[in-house]
Amino acid sequence: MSANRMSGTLLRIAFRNIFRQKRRTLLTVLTITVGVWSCLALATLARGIGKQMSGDVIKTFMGTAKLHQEGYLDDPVIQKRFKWPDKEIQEHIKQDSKITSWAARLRVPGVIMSERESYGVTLLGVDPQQERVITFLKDAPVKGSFLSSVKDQGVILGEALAEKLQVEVGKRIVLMSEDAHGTIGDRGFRIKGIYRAEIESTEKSYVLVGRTVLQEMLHAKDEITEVSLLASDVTKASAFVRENEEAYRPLVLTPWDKIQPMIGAMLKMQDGFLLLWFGIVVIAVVFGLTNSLFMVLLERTREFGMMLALGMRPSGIIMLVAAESFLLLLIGAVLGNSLTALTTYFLRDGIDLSAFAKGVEVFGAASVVYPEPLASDWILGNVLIIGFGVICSLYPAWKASRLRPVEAIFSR
Amino acid sequence: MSTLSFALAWRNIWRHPRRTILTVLAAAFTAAILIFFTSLQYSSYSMMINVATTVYHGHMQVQREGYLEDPSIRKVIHDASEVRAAVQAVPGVVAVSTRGQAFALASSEERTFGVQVVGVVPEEERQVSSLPSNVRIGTYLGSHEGYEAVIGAPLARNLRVELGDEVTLLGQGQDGSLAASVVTVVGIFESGAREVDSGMIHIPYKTFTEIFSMPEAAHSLVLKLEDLDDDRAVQTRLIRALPSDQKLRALRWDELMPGMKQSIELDMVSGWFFYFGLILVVVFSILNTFLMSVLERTREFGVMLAIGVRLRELRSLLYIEATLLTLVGLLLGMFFGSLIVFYFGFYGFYVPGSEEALKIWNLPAAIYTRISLASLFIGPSVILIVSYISLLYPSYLLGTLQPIEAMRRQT
Repeated sequence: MSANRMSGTLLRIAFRNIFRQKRRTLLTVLTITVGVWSCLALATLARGIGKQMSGDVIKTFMGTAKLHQEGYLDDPVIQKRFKWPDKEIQEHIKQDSKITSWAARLRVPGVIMSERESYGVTLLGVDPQQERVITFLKDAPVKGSFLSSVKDQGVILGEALAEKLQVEVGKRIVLMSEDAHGTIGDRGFRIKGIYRAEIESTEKSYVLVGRTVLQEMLHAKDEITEVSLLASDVTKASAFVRENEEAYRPLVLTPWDKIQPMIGAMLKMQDGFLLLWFGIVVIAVVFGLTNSLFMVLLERTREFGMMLALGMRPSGIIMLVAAESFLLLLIGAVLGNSLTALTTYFLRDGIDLSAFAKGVEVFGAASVVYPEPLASDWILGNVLIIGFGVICSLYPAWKASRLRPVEAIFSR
Repeated sequence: MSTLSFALAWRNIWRHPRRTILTVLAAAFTAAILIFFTSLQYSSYSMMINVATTVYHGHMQVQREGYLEDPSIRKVIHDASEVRAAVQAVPGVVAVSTRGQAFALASSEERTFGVQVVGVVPEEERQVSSLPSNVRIGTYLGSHEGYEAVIGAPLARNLRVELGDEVTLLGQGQDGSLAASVVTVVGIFESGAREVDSGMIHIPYKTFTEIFSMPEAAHSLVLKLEDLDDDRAVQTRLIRALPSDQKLRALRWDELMPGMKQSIELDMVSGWFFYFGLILVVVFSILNTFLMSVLERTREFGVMLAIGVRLRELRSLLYIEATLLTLVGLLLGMFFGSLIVFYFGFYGFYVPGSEEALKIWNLPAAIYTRISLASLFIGPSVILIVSYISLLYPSYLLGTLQPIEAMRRQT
């Protein structure tokens, strides 16, 4: 018998064997299915939460990476500003095909005051056209109207902040901040629009005015503090920065996950937990599988004895048992993957976590989470379970191959 | 009968030692994992709550109605010292700190930032919060009056001020008037909580009430309780003790920080989603074992039925066997689970890659796990219950046995 035909025969025998005891096969397969499903569904949901968190950060006046004056991130003040427009930088941006959009802003810490209340906020002097492409304002509902140009005299603020200040569209507020000379500059603005964001803290923090208007108020004519760049592939922020940082010197290009380390750190922690959980589920599945294989061994002692007596080599028995275990694992994995795909499909409209809205917000995420299947998780999950499953089935397989033919045949 | 059943059941489950051991180990493994993970969850929650309550929020607070939702300077507690005395007298309350809170612009010679100004009585504050002991440079406030201030380290860096430098505070008083004052930095603290360190200034309470023109008033009374778990009882007592002429509220930590409460709940719920997958895996394993043990004993059961053993007794035999086997596994799991918990309670548990995230939440990189009755019993109980439910199937199969036919069968 050639090796090829031999293994073909083995597979056929294995396939028939696993359907001899249907109930047990079904249970073993179900164990594997649930194991695979538990790993993959968990990973898919976790990645969904991760993607949402990073997406929200990127859409909140961030982008894939930002250009700053050196030292701005440690000490974000108006003193760290630079000239804008800058022909050279704009040319770089235009030539980089990876950059889909960008926005130049003057960002300063400031205070907003209504007749009765005052709060600390972040003032953004923006070009409204750019922001409506690169940030969440693209499709955020706005009461009133949005700024029309960099020279617009109005102010846009978030709904939660408007409620705290007890103001509405058309009312006046005062903005205050340190200007370029180090003295306090202030100015009255009429509220032109009130926006809504997915996360309340965004609504409370960001106040938008026309860039030219803010520059005039702070005596920083034609100067800004940051440029956000949005690249087509957001997941590769660090690589994007490595490739391009030289071109923008002396300005510093920083990826979003360095500017907001919390989200990056949480994604890392998520990776750690996922791997840990995969390991635990694999062990539990292997217990079930090995148990089932030992039952097989017990039931078929006579049969194995007969095969050995008929001249099958011990290695053949090992291969047979391993092949049966592989088939079980394969069927279980196929079902588990299908089940996860189904789960993902049914949850495609998102899982509503609004019952925990405040809790989700602590993590900086919005309350609806969408599953995000990631090929690398699925491959890892399947390889781990099938791989360890086959390896651990070698022990009962080895036991079966060591049976003594005569004793085995006359057992029971 | 019952001792006989037990003896019979015990012997039965050891007929196939290897299968039994594997099933027991699977149950033990799952129970141990569940105990460890639930302990990890509970320990990190109590750590988070502990840190958050001692840094700033306290175990409970008394505030004017509506202040929590919209902390406006006008929503004050009048006659603060009288209210404080009433609160202090409530059983279960260990310490009370009077605070005034307002938003203001803090300017140094070079820089200006928006900050939260907190007026405190130092000796009271020391008893409820860890902040006074986290002063790294200089000292905490010396008395409840005088023009001095203690500020967070990142804020000091941003403002470019050091000990002895002056900071100008500019805000709005309770009556809407301009509130302005100059205070000298006497201490710089670093609690580890970012929003506290980078945006907070403590000044003496008396000075605060002068600057913001709110004599004898405060915004919150911050409480330390004898036992945090008692918060609901103390809350009820407080509501009765508070003066009725002012609209005051007593708030528990979870009401003060609804975000933390809900993120804990979310974590618990999502945790159980994962645990349930694991429990199903192990229950299938247990079910497999018992399904086989029923099928291979068809003949034996047939004989038992034929000699007059009732079906109900056979079923209870099955359940006794399952209970024995599962319990042995669960007890083993509880033993090893507690060992793991004690181990990590001593050496600390590090999740790979989590140091940064935990630091941002002001938690140490390692979580020291602690065993509790809940974490010890909840996981194993759920395993037991789910495996009982799964046994309905083999127990149903027992009911379909026909004695004569079953006795004839070969296996």
